Amino acid sequence: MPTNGVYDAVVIGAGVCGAITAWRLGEAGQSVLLLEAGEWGPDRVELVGNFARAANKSPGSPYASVEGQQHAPSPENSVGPYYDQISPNDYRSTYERRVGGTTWHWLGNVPRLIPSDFRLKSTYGVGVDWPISYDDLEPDYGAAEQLLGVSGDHDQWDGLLGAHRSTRFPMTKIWQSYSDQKVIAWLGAPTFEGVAITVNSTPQARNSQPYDGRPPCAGNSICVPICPIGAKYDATVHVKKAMLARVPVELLDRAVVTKLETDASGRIDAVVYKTWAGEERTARGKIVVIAAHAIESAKLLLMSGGPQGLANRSDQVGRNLMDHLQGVGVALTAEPVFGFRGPPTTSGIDAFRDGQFREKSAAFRMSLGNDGWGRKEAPQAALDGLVKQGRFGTELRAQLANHVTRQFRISYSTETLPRPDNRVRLSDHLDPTGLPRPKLSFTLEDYNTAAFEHAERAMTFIFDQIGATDTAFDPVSPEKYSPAGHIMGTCRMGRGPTTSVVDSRSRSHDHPNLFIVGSATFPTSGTANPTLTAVALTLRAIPKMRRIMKDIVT
Amino acid sequence: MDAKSCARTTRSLGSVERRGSVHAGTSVNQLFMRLSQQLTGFDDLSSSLAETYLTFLRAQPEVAATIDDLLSEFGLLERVGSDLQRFRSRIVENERFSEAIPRIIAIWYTASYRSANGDTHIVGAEPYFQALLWPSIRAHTPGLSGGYFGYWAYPPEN
Repeated sequence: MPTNGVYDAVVIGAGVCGAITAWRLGEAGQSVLLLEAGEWGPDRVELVGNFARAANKSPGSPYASVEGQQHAPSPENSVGPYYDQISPNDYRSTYERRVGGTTWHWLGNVPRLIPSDFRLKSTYGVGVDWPISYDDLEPDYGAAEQLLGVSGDHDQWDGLLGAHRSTRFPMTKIWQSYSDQKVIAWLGAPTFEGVAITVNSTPQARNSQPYDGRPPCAGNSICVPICPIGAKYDATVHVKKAMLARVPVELLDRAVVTKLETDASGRIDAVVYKTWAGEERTARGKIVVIAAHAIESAKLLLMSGGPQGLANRSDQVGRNLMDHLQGVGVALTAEPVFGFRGPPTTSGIDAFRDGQFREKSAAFRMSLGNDGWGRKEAPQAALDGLVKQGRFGTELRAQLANHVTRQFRISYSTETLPRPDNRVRLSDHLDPTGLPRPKLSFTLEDYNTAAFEHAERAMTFIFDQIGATDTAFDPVSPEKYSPAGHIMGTCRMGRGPTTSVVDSRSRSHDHPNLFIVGSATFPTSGTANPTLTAVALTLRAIPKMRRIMKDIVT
Repeated sequence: MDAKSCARTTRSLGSVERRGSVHAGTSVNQLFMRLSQQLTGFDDLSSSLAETYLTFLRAQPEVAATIDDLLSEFGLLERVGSDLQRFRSRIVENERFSEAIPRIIAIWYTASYRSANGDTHIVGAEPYFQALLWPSIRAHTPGLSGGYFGYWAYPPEN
């Protein structure tokens, strides 16, 4: 702790954006306190054991913790529901509260947003425009790819959907699976409703060679919920670097921030937190960076300040809650594609991530699965079916193999629009620590359901092209979509202090020393997994953080 | 014991456990092992895993009462000589064993056990990594690759 008790920066949340912020500032010689509500938790080997023993292998399965449920509950780790859902459609995406955050169990897909995503309003008349363009953020995207360690095919991606790349990926692509190669060969180069369909390898924060002291991917296939060997990036990488920075970052886990306080000039001058041991303390920083992911960050701001909350002159804190809504189509291929080998996905179809249809219907990105029927049905179901029919022995084994080795799925992930009534508020229901649970309102609209129909038509076409049979689609509806885990929008960035929470450098319009980083700041969702963009925006904010810290004299 | 069963028994016991006697061991663990081979279609099962599973199954209310009967019936079949048809009708389709048979197959293929109330649980981490579903589809247990970068670009070798 600095001798005058005031850190240069107090960072709230040791997930990917908080860890990278803390590390960068520490490397620049600043004193940083990194607070994390959750715990560091058991080591990787133990977590893999938890996963192995879990009957329900959900994303949160390795991380379940009784203490965590009591002191830092999350939608993945709580006794009873954590969200208080008040609208007819549930908001289904969840997150972890622990050192390293939700990147422990993310898949690791890191496509970038595309230029149209930043100008959705100007181009298609829906949503809003970002205060920056793709070109503004492009250098930060490249830097983010270096930090995470991204494997990708530069020639395939440079210029795709209008998004140029000024740097190559740090590593060459994750090799596309045998299944991808068969599908690509069977597909040919068809056109669907005027759109040329091609398959691209997916850029991933997954090593294709030794990188940054971590091994290459060995195809353990359980990226979600955990990479056994650390070939997939997770934010403990930067938490550890932060703790070894030029000025080592002080990490304090098991510390739940309960409110921020301001002085008369509107500067944040106190971060109040409660340890798991029950002690209430205060931390002070020249700047305060909230990096608690989109729901907890909004919740913290709403718990601070007056009835309107903190940093909320715009009345946008908590609003514009977005997600990507997902569905899946399954089929049996004519020949075995041998799923369950390698990462769950190594290729995708990006053809529907843009187009004039976005005036009426959401864009979507498609993934080819390497995991049988993916979320639609686990392979154990095929075993159960055969056993029920009385199959056993070599016949069972052969029939099971014949069926499961031909299982193939395509998933799609649709954008959602920012809506003021899709939002996070504070519930009257409290969590075990006495803090309000998040109260979520989330309603789907025709823009979303039209996209589900569009995607299903496209998948039907693709299955037909590749000669697959026994197709089935999970009925997707507002009640039955699959969540992506992509929580966005609750503290959106923009030019105007009356219509946005932060500026294009993630600094609060209302409080000169407050930054909010991460996917909470996205004005639109696009169809890219949000983490890479969140990191790029964080990197873009760092120089401003440093300028503000320099200007503040305590 | 007829020649066919003897040969099968000898093969399945493996070199470590091979006995000189024509009457191969009839310990319940070995009976369970051979029954499991018939049910799963896998010849090379781990004897320690068989012991783990048998111990586990003996403690489950859905099958505890019938598992020894099942092993006796199977042992009898082995002694008098059995073919696939007889095995199917006397063991697999035997009403008495209708709770046990699917659970024995499932425990080998998935390391999991389903209770009467529908709850499923995994026997343990080690058994999980040895679940037969994955070799049956020429893949690997999720979480334990043992492979090299890029193996998934090629069809399975095994």
